Amino acid sequence: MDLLHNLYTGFTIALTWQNLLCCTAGVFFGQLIGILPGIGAPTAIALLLPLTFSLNPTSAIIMFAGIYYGVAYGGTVTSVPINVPGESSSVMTCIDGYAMAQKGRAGAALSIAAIGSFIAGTISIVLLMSFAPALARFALRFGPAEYFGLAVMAFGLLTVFGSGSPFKIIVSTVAGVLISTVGMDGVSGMPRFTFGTPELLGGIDFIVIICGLFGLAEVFNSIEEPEGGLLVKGKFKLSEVFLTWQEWVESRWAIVRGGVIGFLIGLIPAGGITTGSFLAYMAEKNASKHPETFGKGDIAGVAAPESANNAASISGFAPLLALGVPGSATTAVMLAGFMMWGIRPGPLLFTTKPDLVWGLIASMYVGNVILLLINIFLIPLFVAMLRIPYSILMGFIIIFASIGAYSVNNSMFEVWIMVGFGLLGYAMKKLKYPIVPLILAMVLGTLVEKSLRQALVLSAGSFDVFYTRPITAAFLLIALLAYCSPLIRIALKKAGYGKASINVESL
Amino acid sequence: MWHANVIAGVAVFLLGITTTILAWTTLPYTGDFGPGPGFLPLWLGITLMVCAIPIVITDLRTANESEKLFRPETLKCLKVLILIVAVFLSLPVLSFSAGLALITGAGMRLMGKHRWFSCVMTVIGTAVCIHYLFGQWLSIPLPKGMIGW
Repeated sequence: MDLLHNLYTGFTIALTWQNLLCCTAGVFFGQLIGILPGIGAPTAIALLLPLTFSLNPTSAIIMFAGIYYGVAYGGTVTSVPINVPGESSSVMTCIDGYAMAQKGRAGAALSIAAIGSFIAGTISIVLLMSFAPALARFALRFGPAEYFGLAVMAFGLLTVFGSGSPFKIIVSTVAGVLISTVGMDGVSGMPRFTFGTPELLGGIDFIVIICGLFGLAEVFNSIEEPEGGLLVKGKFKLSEVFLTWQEWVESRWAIVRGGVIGFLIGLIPAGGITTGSFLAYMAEKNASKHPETFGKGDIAGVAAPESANNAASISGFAPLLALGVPGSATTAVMLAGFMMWGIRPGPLLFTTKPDLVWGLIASMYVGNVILLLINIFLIPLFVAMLRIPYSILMGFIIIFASIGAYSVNNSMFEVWIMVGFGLLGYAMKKLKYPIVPLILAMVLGTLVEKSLRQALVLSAGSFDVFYTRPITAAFLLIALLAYCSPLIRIALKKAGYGKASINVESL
Repeated sequence: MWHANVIAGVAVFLLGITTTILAWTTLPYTGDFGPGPGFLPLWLGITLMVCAIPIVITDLRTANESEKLFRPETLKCLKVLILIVAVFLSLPVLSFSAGLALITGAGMRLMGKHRWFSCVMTVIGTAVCIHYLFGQWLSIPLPKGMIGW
């Protein structure tokens, strides 16, 4: 009954005209951003932060959440007609979505993506409602040692779900933690790596870094590697988006399976929505009676990954809200947004800010309905948006990134720092150093150091605390296995196992 | 592109050395009740150094000369970077609104070969939007230039 009462309270908050407007604006911008090349969800949220200064925290968080799952919907719009994923989470959708478009069923592909996302999103919200408070209650047992173990486990899992060199992933992670140490030490008050610059005493603001790494760096990367693609000359009329009964029958269980897989993957710190969509596609192909049709325009090949990515984007809120640990770059930016308004997500958030938590959860239902309507009735408009040239978009990204960085302290120093991080992000992408571990490590860096030091102080300097406490030991064991996963994969490959590998380009 | 990767690996190694030295020489390793402010940075520096070694070795082994670090599009990136830096340096004269709007117009000319008229209209429209949206509505104190807003 408590759950229903909390949900009712959430709806009374989410359905106020201001929050409804914020939710609509968020999902609309999210959808638009998902379509536009070169702007991802973390970039969008970071760039739009200054626009929320006049809002209250609940409305702002509702808007950002709308952008987040709106992006997951929007990425499909480019995947189907031009075979270019708007987001990495839509990579799997391209395979069968584009094949359907070539057969003249682009409208149906976009439609099943919207319906699948809606149903899976709703499944995910229901599970989130039950799971997140329980996770928060469990997290109340956590002390500094457990939080240290949890953060280290999240770092370790990045090497499991990331692609490319594990050493480069570790370098990115370590660099992120290192950046978080810049400024005044929280315990001793001693300045670290400030080189006599007073502006650095407070550390480097996360928003400034995000504006550089995702805003400016993406501009440079998009100039150098434009996302091409040829628009399929299909019909995108409203009448073409409705499914046939046969298509619905073929995709309904793919939606449910995709939704459950997406939900579970989203719960894992660093699991990510891209991994969820990849696994859902593979699972659907294995479960299908006709796996040979996958890759040739099978509607289940669109329904499963799209359902999974939306479910994962919603369940990704569970570790953020209940533990205060973001699972992806986007939730890391959202954590920065929470902190900007003085809110620290974690187990106590459900008791100290129930209006915010339940308002946010209820807004997800509302946002999903709005997105379904937007996607069914505005698909022709969104396809038309694909024709906006990047030469125009580029200037606006730079404007939002610059103002976002400037508005942190109303100082040009932050703008120059943003330029520096823009160049760093560009170089990292070019040299195949993943950015997501850097972002997550920067956000979790302070938590790692603080909890490590607190744990050692409490144990009088003894490291026993990390293996005598069962939860900490379990987290650290998972982290150790995760760091050894490249070696385990090689061993399995040599033994003839593990033909399928997870390749997450977003990391 | 292997040489760029090797240089990057060496840069990571140097960053590791620098961090380790700075942490060791300027920050106390232990505090009154446990690890000090230099504890984590020292180990981070050492980890960077250790991880840089296999990266450099791998990149030396997997040399791929066909992958080019600098391409014709890289020059476009450089032009945009110069434009951004030039505009940021001249913001005290141009003002934040006009300067950033100029990036939009100049970017359109540099990247898209749009007509001058479209570019000028975009610059004016964007400057007005930035001024009213961020400066007036959101009350962000944007630096003013010689034009007064």
